[in-house]
Amino acid sequence: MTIDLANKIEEILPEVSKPTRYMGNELNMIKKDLNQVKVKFALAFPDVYEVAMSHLGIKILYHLLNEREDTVAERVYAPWVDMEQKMREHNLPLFTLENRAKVVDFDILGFTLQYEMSYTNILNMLDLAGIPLKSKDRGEEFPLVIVGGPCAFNPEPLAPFVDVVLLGEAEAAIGELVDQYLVWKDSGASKKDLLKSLSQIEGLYIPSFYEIDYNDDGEVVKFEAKNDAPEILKKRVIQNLDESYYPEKLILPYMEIVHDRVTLEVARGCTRGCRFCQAGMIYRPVRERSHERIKDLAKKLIESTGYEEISLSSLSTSDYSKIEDLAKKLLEEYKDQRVSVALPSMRVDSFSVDLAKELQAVRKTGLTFAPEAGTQRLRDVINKGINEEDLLKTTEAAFKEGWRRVKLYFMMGLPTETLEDIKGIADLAKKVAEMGDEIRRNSDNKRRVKVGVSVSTFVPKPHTPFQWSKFNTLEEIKEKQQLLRNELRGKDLSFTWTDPYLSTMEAVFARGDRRAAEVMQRAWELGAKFDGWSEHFDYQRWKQAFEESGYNLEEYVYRNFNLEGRLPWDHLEVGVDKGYLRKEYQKAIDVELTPDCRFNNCTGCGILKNLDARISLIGGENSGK
Amino acid sequence: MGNNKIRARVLKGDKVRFISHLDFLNTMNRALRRANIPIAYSQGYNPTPNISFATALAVGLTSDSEYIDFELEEDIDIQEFKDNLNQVLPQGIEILEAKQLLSKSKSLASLLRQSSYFARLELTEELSIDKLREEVANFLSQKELVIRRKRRRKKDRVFDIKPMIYRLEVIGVQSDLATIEMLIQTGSSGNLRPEEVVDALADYLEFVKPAKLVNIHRSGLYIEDNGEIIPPIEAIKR
Ligand code: SF4
Repeated sequence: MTIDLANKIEEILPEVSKPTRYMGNELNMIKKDLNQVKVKFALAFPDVYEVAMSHLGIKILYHLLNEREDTVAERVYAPWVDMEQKMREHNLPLFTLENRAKVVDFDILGFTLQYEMSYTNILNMLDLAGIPLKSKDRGEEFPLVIVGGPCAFNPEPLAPFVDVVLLGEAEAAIGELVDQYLVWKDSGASKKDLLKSLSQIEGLYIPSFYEIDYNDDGEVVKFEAKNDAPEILKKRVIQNLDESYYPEKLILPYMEIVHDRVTLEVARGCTRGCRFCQAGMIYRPVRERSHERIKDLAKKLIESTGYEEISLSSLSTSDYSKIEDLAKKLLEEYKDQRVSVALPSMRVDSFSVDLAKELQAVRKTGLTFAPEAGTQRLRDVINKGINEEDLLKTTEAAFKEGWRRVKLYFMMGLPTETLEDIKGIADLAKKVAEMGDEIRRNSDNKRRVKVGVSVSTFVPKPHTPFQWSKFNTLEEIKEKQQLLRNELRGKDLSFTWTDPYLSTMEAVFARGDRRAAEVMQRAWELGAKFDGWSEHFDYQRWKQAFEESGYNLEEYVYRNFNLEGRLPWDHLEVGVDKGYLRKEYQKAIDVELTPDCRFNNCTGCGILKNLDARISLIGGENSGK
Repeated sequence: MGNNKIRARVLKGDKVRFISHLDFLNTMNRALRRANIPIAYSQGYNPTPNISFATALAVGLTSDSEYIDFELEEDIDIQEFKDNLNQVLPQGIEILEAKQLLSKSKSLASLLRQSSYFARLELTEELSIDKLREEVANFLSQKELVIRRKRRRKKDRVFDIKPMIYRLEVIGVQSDLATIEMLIQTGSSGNLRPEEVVDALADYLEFVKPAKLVNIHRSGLYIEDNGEIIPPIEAIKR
């Protein structure tokens, strides 16, 4: 059977675009004999290969699971529409890259949720695999469908489709899940028994064990846990990041992927406390890896891949202890092998132009900064402790050092925002451009300055201080974008924005509840997939799906979340107290800052007591021990 | 620098037939780093490894004759070069032969003149090898073999490929599959693609199906060296 499938796949590959996406067989891929293992785990990412292969979490899980002798993990990604069409034409089911085996024959199918607009791809992949969409329609003979990742902290719109939700850092819980699965498999008990036993593992949430109902404002009015499932579900965290598992080999793709380099995670969590930022809340507490461990990993990963670039990644890499030290040591070490070192996510205030200069010894590609808001008042509201002076000082230094391309990231639609703040974005960008042009005219490098202004639309996210905030209406967004289009004309300026309709759908699902599931399924039936790709996104289709399900899209997305009411995701605990979020929300309205707990006193977010965790800033020390 | 050039003949096999030319180049660069081979880098704004291909292979084809010149920073034993690289190359890519190259030799691409291929023909009916040979001979005996090449954002090019085909032979027939071998013009002064030959044949013979790239294998490249047409690896001895 498998051989047959593999051959059929081979036959359709020449007829699709980018066949490398479905080829597998990359260096460092792990291919096991499927008959020699007890648990077959399909790791799925609901987007195309280039995107999926760039995601670090899945790589860690892939190698971690394959370390187990009794388990195999294989990859499966969303086939692009042309491939899907061929597969459906030839009756080929969704298959894994390693053994080209049918996904339906796996024991566990795990999806990572990175982005709300990829949810319809999950439904599409289940369908392509020949797996019933709803958990209640799947018996023991089908794979156990689990989801994890950042969006899993509000998985309610997917509740009927998934069996298990893994909350928090999967490395911390996945072993227990597989162990329990093995026990169950040998016992021959029912799927319900499996779910019951899994519900007793911390961090595992079984949506079907809960009865939840809402009022029109989206408030939870009924919440009932069945089968002894816990009322509050806590996320899992790695206690000691330095000693935690990190792969020493990474699959080396043939085709160019989005992040085509060695990604080395130097730290997890961020203490800045920007009030819009979900990552900053859900990945707490902050934990660093030691310099020693990072250097050791860098060596092994370069040796096993041959990549020409290492990226030191984390939510806010410039906060990592003694980052300059580490970067310079790595640069020195790999100079002869021509391996470069990249530091993404640098913040304006801690950004050192000297360091950037060394990192980009020859090439002066663009520098990016994220002031996020156009006026100091609004930056204070969102707790982005950057001031204009810092930004101008850093960009000035960069222009003087010969950089010519600067990118500025902003958001619009933030709480308390007025048109004054939007104008502030344009004013700030113009100031930077004018300063840059003046420096250019007085220097030898006559290349014109380019200031790219990228303004995305703020989408309120669960578990953040802004989880209660109102999402801007389409009219408001369009008005603000028009204002910026008018203001940001000029030779050295360019302006990019996000599709307001797409952001609206993102807002629907980010704070969606179980009622959104029905709508999603209807939209998928109407053809929705790859919604994150502008060429496939169709707002009218979503409007129709809402109507046919008996809801109104606008009423739903603009519903009024009450500060005191129970939110659809309140039973899922990321470790930060709800009282703290409320306080932060109030401070935002009052334009009050909350300092970074890395450099100041504990701000009392609750993470340490709730998760029995500790902050670990060992990056600067010699050893993690 | 400049005296440490190595020319290699490389296999691009079944497992990697769909990777693009750029993918192939990146794969090679990363393998060089894994094997710790002291490859030389270009000077200037954005230094890249000094490796150059004779010509790109279309996606879908396999080949046992991809020729690559490597410029090294220091001398390295040729056997060691080959063994170390082969140890780290992914399945489907292999250095088949490698030889030290005289520094003054011109770029492979500029010397390239001809290439040879095996192609599998899919037939709509079974026929004997003699019959097929006869039909191919008829095909070749036409006064002109005019084809139309589509070009992106440009007018189609219509031209006679007869002078560009040096050899076209039927090797074997097995029920409804046949194998042919061809030697055709390649390089900057004129470039014919193997699938164009198959398609021209299919146009002429109704029982031959149109070309599929996965049915084509490159078996040789030839350069001009002192007026002689030879495989690139032989140019080295002189
Ligand atoms: S610096 Fe702010 S935006 Fe960035 S990760 Fe930390 S909290 Fe989030």
